[in-house]
Amino acid sequence: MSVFLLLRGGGVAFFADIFLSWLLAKLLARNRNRIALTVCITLAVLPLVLTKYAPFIPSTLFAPESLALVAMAGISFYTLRIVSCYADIYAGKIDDAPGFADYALYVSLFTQILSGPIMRVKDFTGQVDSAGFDSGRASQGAFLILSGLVKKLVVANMAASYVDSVHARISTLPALCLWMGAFLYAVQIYADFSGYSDISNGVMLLLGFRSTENFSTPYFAQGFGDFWRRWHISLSSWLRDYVYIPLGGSRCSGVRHFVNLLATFAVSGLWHGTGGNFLFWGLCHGLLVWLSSKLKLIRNPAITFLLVMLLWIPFRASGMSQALTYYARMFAGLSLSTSAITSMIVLFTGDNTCVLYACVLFAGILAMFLHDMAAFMGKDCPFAFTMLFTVMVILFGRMGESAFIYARF
Amino acid sequence: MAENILKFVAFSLIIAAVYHVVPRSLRKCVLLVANAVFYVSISTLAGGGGSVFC
Repeated sequence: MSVFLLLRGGGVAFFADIFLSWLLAKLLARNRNRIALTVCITLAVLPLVLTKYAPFIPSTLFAPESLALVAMAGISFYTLRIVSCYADIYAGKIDDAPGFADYALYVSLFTQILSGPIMRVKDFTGQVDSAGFDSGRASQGAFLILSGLVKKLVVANMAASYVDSVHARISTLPALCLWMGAFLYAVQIYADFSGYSDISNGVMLLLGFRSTENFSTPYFAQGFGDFWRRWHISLSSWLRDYVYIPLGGSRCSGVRHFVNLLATFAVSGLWHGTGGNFLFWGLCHGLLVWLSSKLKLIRNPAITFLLVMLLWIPFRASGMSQALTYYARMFAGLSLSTSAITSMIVLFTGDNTCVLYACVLFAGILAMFLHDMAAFMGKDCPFAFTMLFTVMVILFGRMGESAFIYARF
Repeated sequence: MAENILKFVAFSLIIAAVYHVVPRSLRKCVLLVANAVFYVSISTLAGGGGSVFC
């Protein structure tokens, strides 16, 4: 059924898929049993698996090229929303499948289809009929959009050029450059994805909807459990509710709890990408979430940030071998010599504007940090940040740079 | 592309304005049409799987 939506240029097929998946939701609401749920979820997940994992399926069994199949933009988030809807119907969290218009808006709303946040069907459909203009929400939304533009156009895009340069020359650059590259990638991915989430949530507020918060100062986290309560909150709560808890969660033996954590984070890793580097990233996070509950040392915010930063390396690398090379170069021969420091600074632009570029980038990072710090301390000063962010976008916004990182998942 | 991020924001602002101007009974239609326009533009115009907006 859902294979329709994979056909190249399939606008019509996409709408047909929404209709068919809604019919399945209706049928499931009338026959709430495990077999029906399994069939519905399998049909929902199949296109994602076939397009994302096609290289790992023997060509004798499945050849996507011969069927002219391509991954639909936003398929990962679209699939998670459909599965969430089916699981909530089965669990009785909603009485019946929503009407077709509400369902179609829920699974494919233009502000959320590419990179989330992944709202729950009940939270979304409960607002569809009541959403209206509210000046307080609108100004809050406008501020979020501005904040998202600063994060993306100033911080993420400026950090991206440095990170790309580092990853293109891992074996020749001094270790200090690799450390700076790792730090700036941690900044880039946060600024990029939380920037998108801010824009998406800002538009939702302008429309009169309250969306799901996706980030809550994640780099201030105390331990990995806390980190995942603050980073990509809508995905981590989705994984908790639809993978971790059905597996048994923490209400089982110690070994089983550990296995459940690893399995949940393995799913998270494989959802992000098919390479071994993504699986490694997911499993390491699972292990560290478990260790965080045992070792107080990891619950220190600085240690947590350092480990999170190091684990972004396989996430950014083209494969596991590149990630291992990066680690090896990072830890071997780390030097704070003048030449290493000069190389680290020159890498920003490669010419005599490098110091200015670095100053602007770090001013952007500082502004983002101060904004997060204010939010972390529960202080709200939108006027000051509105002025600051407006000036930053106008003066330093970098146009013509890369797309949102999470749009490719 | 960053220009496309600005296009996405501009598109969203136009939809938000239209959404609040039309009668309440037509609001869902506005969002459904916006979804269709957005999806077709990111999939078909860019040649399937590509993206015009982001």
